[in-house]
Amino acid sequence: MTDEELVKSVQTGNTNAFRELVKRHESRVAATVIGMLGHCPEADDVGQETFIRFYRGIKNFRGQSTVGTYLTRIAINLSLNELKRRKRKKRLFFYQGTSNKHFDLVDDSNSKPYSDEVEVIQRAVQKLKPKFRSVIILRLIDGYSTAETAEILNVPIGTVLSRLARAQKKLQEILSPYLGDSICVNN
Amino acid sequence: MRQQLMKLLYRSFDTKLTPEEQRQLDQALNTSKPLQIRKARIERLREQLRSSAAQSFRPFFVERVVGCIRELQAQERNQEIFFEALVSVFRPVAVALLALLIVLLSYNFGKSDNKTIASALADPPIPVEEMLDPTVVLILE
Repeated sequence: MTDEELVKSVQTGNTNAFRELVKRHESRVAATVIGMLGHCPEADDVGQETFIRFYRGIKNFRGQSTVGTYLTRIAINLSLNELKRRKRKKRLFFYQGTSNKHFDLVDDSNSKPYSDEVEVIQRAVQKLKPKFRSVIILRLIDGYSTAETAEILNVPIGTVLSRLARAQKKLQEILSPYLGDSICVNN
Repeated sequence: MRQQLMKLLYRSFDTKLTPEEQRQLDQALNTSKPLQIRKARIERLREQLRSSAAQSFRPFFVERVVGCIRELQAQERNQEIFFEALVSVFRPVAVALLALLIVLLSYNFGKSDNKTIASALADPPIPVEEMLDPTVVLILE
């Protein structure tokens, strides 16, 4: 069954069809949300909320974009909201330097073991500002085209290109001490 | 010039360059070793980013989502039952109230000598003196 057929089935009240949609798109939503928020309990909550919002709006889903793109748009918006909430909380409690600390608080006991390199890269992505992080996640991790990334983020293509270039330069700066010479910025 | 080339190099990964820009970049890549190294590093970084994608949430994610959806459906069903009950009760109550209103209006209308809408509403005409404050009436006089 295609995604569109499953959506039609959900629209008639079939919960099992929705279960299938969740199964199909969990990895995509996980890549987006965990990429934006890091491995933390809130990521799981935002992932759930993404699918619940999708379910609530499924009666109005006209198929103008694919289910995957629609879900990614919800996931990225909810993740950005969560980051704003964190920032507000941080400001409220005068809590400094949470970006690194938050990552350290992760309970990875249930998740797959990551190789050191992957973990270092994920930490580096967490250090980027949300607007740079979102283009990296959508374009380089989720694999959307530049035009699709621009559409999801509702920004011009030129903005996506400049943010991508700046984000990659910043990542190379952050990663050069950890990953050695392979992606060093000098030269 | 170098900055311009760097911009082109980064752009070349994410968008199609114009033939002139492509020619410029290819030429620079053929002659500049640092640019070649930079290109290789960007490619490596992008590859590493692609392979760093998280694959799933905590275990039983699908079950948790479906559980939430079922709760949502149950809430919606309860709301539907409430509104259905409200609609079914509304009609007889409205009809009964309307009938009572007609009976009262007819009774008032029949009892009154003055056949006006006000009398049907059992609303006796109020003299001007009663409407105004007595002191104001005195001043007017």
